[in-house]
Amino acid sequence: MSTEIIIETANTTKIFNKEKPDEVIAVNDVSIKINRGDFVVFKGPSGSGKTTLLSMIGCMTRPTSGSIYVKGKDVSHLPERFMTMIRRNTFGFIFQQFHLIKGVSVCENVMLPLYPTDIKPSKLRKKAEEILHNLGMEGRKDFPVQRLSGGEQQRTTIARALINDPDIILADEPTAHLDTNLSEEFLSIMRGLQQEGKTILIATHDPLVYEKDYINLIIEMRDGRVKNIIGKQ
Amino acid sequence: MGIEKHRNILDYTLLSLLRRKFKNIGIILVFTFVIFIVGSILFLSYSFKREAYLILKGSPEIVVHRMMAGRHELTLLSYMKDIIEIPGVSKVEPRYWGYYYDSMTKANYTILSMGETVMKTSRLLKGRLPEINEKNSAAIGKGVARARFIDIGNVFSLQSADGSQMVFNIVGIFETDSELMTADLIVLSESDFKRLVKMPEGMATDLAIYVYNETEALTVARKIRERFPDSRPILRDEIIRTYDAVFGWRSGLVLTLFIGALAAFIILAWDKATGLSAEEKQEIGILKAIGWETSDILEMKFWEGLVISLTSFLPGIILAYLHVFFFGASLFAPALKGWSVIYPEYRLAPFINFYQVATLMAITVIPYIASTIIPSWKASITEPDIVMRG
Repeated sequence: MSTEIIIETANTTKIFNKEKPDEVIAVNDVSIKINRGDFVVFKGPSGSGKTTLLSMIGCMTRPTSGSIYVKGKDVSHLPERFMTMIRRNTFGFIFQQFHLIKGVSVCENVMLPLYPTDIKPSKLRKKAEEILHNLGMEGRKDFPVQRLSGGEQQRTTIARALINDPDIILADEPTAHLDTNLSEEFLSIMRGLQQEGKTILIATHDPLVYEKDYINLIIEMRDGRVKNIIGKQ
Repeated sequence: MGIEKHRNILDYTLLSLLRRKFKNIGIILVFTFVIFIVGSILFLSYSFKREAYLILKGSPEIVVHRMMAGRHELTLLSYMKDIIEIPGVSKVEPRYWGYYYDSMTKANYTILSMGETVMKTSRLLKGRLPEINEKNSAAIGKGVARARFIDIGNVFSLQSADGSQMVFNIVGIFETDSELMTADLIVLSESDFKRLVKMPEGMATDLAIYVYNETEALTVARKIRERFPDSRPILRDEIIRTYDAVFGWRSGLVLTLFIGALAAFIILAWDKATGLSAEEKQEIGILKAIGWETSDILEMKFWEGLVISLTSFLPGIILAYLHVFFFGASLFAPALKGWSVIYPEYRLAPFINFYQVATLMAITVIPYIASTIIPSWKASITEPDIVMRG
């Protein structure tokens, strides 16, 4: 496995409503390093700061203090435009609530991240169809997403996360709405992607996920701080 | 950055609009209706003004009325000799005209004797005009022909001022195109007119004054007023201004009738401007989270506003055009044309004031696009991590 550090946080802190009566320190002085190709799980109860940390790593929000490096580049102080570019080119997101656009077909949902780019629509569609085929969703590509089952919606979000061929996949509580079979199926897809060289980061408190033996880094969080780091290499 | 990106965003916008079919169709229908109403009024009143202006262009520069106790009185022909001597006056002509109430059809006709003014507007006549001294002949407007069920070759009678019936052969009918001015018109020879209304000798309804140089009309009018203090010279420009004011006022009246539709549209635009639904906000968050920039979202909303407003504006303005110029503005012409038994029925010459159309576009399309973009802008500048939290 490569030892190239793909993500690094240095004393990263995120405070919501700073200096107000309802101030919340969501992430407190977190410093971690993640290598390319790692399968990482952020483990902890709800409110432990794992989702916020994942958001900061994914360039969705900036830290209040400290820095975040993605492929060696400090992304925590970039203007919005560049953060968006990094988000679009480097990350694929899988959300807990799926967050698919209702009323639009499976294929269109998968194509969405690359609409604001110069890729030709025919090429984009072909790419989306290929990914859906690999995930066994070719028969559902023209379905409106609201008619899909939970597992199919999950696979559609995976396809959408893969359309930009990202180096890193971020998933927030991906198994929260899935039964055991579908959760296993999801994890095996993630395992396959890791074997292709992608870095996988999952925030979860589901033992089914963090007990898998192919997970090589477990970052345990509580009250915004890193409580424990377990490396399994 | 190439064109593909904008094409992709436009593609998605259209797809996105189709998702909310009923809502968007509703907006388009209301928007189209508003454009149709306002466009029709603009086209109609502008065409009326243009039509009246073109017809009045051929009329004399000054018309002199005589006044008594503030009311219009017959003018003495003896004034003519003095007026023609005023420097700048090229010609003075007596005019004989008035109104005739027909109790049978309960309509008012405009009666007019042959003269220079009639000759100038005779371009649209079917048949011919009566000769200056031809007895018992008349040319009538389409409205009169319709009201009386008569045509060329028929006869009709009018009751003269002394109670006797005068019979006239119809030798001509004014055609549809000029009906704005001629629908209720009856043109007679001068002698017949005088006999019909029992006009005393040496009198005329008013005098038409032609001048060599139009810019001198005001000076000539002043001199007429000085020589004949009981006269009231009316300049052609004043009549044109009056037409403008009358049609402007009537347009406002019709617009008031449709204030409900306008209000509905404003509420609709306001509703859009003051906030997005939770679903729309979440969608913006999702798009940002998966890699759309704020500018991409604003571009999508711009296309959305443009598509909706142009899809409404173009049919609205085309329907207004058809309504006014092909169907005679049947919806609200009665209010704009006048209040009478004899409505002119005609096809207006399609005059369009592009400045007005551009203004209408500016006051409807631009605010609508703005009302689509502004709330989305507010939503799209927030950080996308909000979608991570459900």
